[in-house]
Amino acid sequence: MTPIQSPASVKGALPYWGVLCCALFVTASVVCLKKGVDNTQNLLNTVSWLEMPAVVSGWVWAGILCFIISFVFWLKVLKVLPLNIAFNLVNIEHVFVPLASYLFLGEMISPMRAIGIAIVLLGVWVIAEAYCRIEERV
Amino acid sequence: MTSGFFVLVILSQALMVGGQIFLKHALNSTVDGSETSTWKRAAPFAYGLGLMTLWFFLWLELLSQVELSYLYPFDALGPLFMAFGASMMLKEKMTPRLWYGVLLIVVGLLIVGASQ
Repeated sequence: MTPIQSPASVKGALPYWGVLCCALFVTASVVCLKKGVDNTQNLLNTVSWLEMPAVVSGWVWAGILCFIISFVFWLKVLKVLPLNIAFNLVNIEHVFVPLASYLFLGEMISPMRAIGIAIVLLGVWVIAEAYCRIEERV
Repeated sequence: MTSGFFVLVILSQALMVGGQIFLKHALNSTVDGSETSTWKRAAPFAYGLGLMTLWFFLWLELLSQVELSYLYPFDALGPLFMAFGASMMLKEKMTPRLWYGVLLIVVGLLIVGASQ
């Protein structure tokens, strides 16, 4: 994890693809995790902590892997894109995730839930400016 | 959904934000490369990693209880805590824009919360 490099290392359209990949891998990650926990219901009641790695569904490991990949993409993106742009773009994952829940997990998204999600997304965009200012100061 | 569920959701996002702040701190101090900084860096790094681990297990537990499309919008609490909480702690002036955003996210989450 190297500190910020000069933006001279920008390669074509990488940042935008990077953001897209990041959002897609986050989506894949949570879908895998959800599949994983559904496969290992009552995990905490049935096995001891030592036995856990053997019982945990492969979906969970896949989810963790996707999460790490998305994080790597995020770090790469942040080297070339300013945080305020990257943060706004990557929040399309709030659209991808319900979409993926519908496609891959068979969840029904009620109109009410869709409206709620849309308002949340709007809110995230509105606070983006403040968020990025804080993020850079912390 | 029970109020316990929402408490856990809020807790998980608070852990996430806490973890991120510690990790950021650990990475930031990499820049000044003095010889004592390695150990000074190790502590926030360990705290950050610990909080992220707690967040991860809590998140898995919550994920096993509800649908993904129901839980995921609550992820927006992370940026909200970050912007709102840190603004308060850093004693920044609260802009009207930030209030609107916080209001929108909270209203949106209430609607999502009622959608089950």
